Amino acid sequence: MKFPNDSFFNKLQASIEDIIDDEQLSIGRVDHPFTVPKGYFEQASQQILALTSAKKPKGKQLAFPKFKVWYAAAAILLLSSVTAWFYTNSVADNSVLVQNLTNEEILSYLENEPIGYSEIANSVDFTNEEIYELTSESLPFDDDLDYMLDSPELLMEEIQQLNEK
Amino acid sequence: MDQPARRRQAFSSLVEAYQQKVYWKVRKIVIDHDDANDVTQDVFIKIWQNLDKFRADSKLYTWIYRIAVNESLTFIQKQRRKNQISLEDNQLLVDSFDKGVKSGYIDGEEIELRLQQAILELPDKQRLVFDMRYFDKLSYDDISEITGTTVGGLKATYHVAMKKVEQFLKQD
Repeated sequence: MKFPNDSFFNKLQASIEDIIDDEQLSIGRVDHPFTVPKGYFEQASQQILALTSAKKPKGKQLAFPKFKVWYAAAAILLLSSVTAWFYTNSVADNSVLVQNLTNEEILSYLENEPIGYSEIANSVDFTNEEIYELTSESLPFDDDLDYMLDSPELLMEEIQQLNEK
Repeated sequence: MDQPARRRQAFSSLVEAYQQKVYWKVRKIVIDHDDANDVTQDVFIKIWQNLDKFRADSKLYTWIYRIAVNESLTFIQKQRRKNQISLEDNQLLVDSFDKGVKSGYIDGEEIELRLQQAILELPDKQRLVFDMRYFDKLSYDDISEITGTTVGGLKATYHVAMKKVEQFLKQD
């Protein structure tokens, strides 16, 4: 490895080897080439002291300044209120809502929804009287029911099966 | 003597003791003299404003160096953003260096200039570590405290930087 004919390079190479070996620098301080105008440092010290005398030192601050704590508390309170209101109004008891509906509204809803007879029958516990009452009327629940209403024998058979269950 | 007066006196001593060291540290990072002057003033304003936060268990010069390094890096990153160049691009610094050589603010032997040019080829972190270790002869522990990097990481960074500098100087 050949370096330019300057002892500096040899020293640099030596320092590289030292660093690799034991992290120590054997080379002496190498001066940098930067310069400053004459008298700069004397003048700069005065400038710094003049600049800082116009600035107030920062006092020790709380981790969270007081006004920020108040803002945070207000935000938490508002968020809690909105959440509580939203929860109360959106997750109301369904039974209360249903009680407020008229029969016409319920029937209108059922007519326009694709719900089959079997789904309704499975989800509601009818008494025998209610079943007889329901089947005595012609309700357009679905095709199966229409067919059964046309055949009273079949319908009676279905009712009997339901009762046995 | 009241507390503000004592504080002012302490700060005055600190400026006297560290002003040149801080300036040279900043200068070697930002290269241009006027920029170094501005950044050095910012560093001491920050020190003045935060003197109460200095922890007595850490070395004063590592605390000051840390502020100086952070302010210098923030300055050059701002310059890069302002000039819409990559945050890793050292072209502005190279230009400042060339300008300094022409104006006489950077004046040294050929070999010193070559070494500085080689250092300017390094990314910021390697440049910093190289400078603190090679020129300032700081211990890895101190550099670790200043840069917030592990000693192992610093050793690796310094080794890579040295290799690159060596490579650059071997060119031609």
